[in-house]
Amino acid sequence: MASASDITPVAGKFYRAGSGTPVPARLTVERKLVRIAEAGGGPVLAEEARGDVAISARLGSVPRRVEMIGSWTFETDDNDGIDRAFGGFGRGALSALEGSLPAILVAVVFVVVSLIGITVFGLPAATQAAVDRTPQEAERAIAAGSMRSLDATLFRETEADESRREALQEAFAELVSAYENQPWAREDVVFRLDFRHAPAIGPNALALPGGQVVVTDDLLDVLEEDEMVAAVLAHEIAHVHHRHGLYALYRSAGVGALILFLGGDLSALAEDAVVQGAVLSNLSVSRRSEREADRTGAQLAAAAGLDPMALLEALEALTGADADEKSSWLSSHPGLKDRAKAIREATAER
Amino acid sequence: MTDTSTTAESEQPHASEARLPFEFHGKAGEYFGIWIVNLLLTIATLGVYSAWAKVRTNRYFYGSTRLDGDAFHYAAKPMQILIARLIVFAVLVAFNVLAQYVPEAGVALLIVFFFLFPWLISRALRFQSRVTRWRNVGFDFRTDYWPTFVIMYLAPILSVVTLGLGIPVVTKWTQEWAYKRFSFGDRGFDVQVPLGKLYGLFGGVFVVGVLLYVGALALIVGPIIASSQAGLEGDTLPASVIAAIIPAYFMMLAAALLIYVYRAGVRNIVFRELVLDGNHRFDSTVSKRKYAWIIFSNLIAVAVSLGFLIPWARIRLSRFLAENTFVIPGGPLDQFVESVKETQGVIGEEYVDMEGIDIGIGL
Ligand SMILES: [Zn+2]
Repeated sequence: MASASDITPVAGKFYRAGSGTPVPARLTVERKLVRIAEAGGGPVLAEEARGDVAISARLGSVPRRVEMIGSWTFETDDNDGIDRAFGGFGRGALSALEGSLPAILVAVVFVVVSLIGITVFGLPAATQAAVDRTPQEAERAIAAGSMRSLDATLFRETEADESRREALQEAFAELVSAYENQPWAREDVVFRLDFRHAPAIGPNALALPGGQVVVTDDLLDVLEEDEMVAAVLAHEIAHVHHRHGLYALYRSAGVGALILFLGGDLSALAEDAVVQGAVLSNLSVSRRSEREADRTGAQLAAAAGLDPMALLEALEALTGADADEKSSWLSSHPGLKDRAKAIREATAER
Repeated sequence: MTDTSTTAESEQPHASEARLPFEFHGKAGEYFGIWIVNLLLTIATLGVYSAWAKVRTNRYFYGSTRLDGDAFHYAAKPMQILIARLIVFAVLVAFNVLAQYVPEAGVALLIVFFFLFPWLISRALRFQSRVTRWRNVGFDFRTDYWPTFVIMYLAPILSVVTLGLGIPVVTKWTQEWAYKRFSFGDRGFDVQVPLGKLYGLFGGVFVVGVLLYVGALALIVGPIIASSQAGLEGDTLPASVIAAIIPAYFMMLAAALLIYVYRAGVRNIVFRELVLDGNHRFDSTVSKRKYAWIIFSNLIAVAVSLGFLIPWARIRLSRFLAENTFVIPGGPLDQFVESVKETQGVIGEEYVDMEGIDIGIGL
């Protein structure tokens, strides 16, 4: 480090506040006093205590500024000169890091490892923690809100046969009590089954967070036997149990926040790549959730005295496919063959 | 002063006058260090550092851009940007939570945002302008509400209802709206964009674009029709279709690049008509083909390098644009700058910053 008594002048340009006219000038720092004089032995333009002036941090080779806020600015290309004059003050650790090859290599490794770590471990762990800390009441309020907005947009009054709906409500109640008898059941869930006419989403069943299950009229048309519908209901109850809806909600919020945080330093293209990766990983999370719901749902169906394989028949009827279909990277649900195997295993476990 | 040769080169517009080129001195190697340290600290501080990262990045790019020997300066304070980001983040979180629980309130809030947005945009542009400085003088942007509203919402509608044929009109409105509000100190910019030239540019781009799309479709659809007529059946696509997919994909990509060709052309047209304080003029000589090539090859380089060539790509683009931008002073530049008055006191203590909004120094 150079001593503060080094008084080689630094050449630069001097501007008075509000003036765009540069005055060629020389800056020296002597006994904690910053003095700027006109070049070529001209008069002193400014004199301030060293502690009162602001020195911009060094950044690559861009010009350096020494500033008395509201009064004057001194600008110079001589970065080394400024560092010498101010005894390294203002050079800053950042600029040293940015210019050092070992530091850059460490940074590259750190960035790559932590980006992988965040997406593979950090995000799922944080999402699960957030899910576990969300109270049931909040989950129910979210479900009530979603239900209201769905009712206002996609949903119409159900047109399904009333006696069939009553029978299904009974089957649902039996499944719920079978669920509540399980030692691992969550205690504070309030289950509720509703029927809606929703041509936009076709034959479908939804599990909103907090215990709200919705079945569409189209599903009832496709699945003629109540036992198949009951198997679907068991699957949805399992979704509620595992809080999959909330997990998906938090996860997409987390991915959004991650992109927002890094946004400033990714190019638009790299951002796209991250978003595409997030979509793919959302699909894989969705497949995992479905498998989990299949397993738990099959156990519930068996506990309620239903045939667990009815879910498979229901799925076959819904997709019109046979059990040979395999799951792929691009599907949100596992293939039927995989699901059949998982259900068989889950019921065999008991 | 840099190159101020006054040798006459006939034919080229403005060729007989002294043209001051913008120069870019940024280096990919130097910026890589800044970029990776920014990323490291942003991750290590869970995003908080991103505000400092933005200031360092902009300081580097502005400070590496010079005109008549003097560098531009990005004067925003990291705290301003951090607070602006925290406000945006808090509003987004509050909005999402509210929309989950009470969808009606979410819709009401959306309407509020809709009317708030033009105000925010013009404030953000003013912030962006004011923190851009050259020779100790800040740029400025005059804000007003309804013209911004028209540009933001009504202009895009016009380009849609005219099936795209109104795009040059929208371009003219938007460019004139922005530059007529932009000033260097107290000296305003002005521009009258010639609509005929914009339509000439647009016509060319439009025809090429249509040809590329039609060509791509023909490549794909042709074999499908041929194979269906031949009575082929089955799930798999015929080999001739698969073979056509790759060239068709590249034709689509080329069509997407036409947007950049159009932008480069607009930049050239606008800069040639741009006037500062009534007598200083500008020039832009961005070759459309070269610009599209740089955008395309940057894309490929960044993808292949898993993002590590982002610094190189940014430096390359900035250098290309700076080297093709000129100021044609209508009189001695030093005397002009001497007479310019600052419009702002101490740098605006505002907290309105938005990502992706940039008219900056028009580079
Ligand atoms: Zn499911």
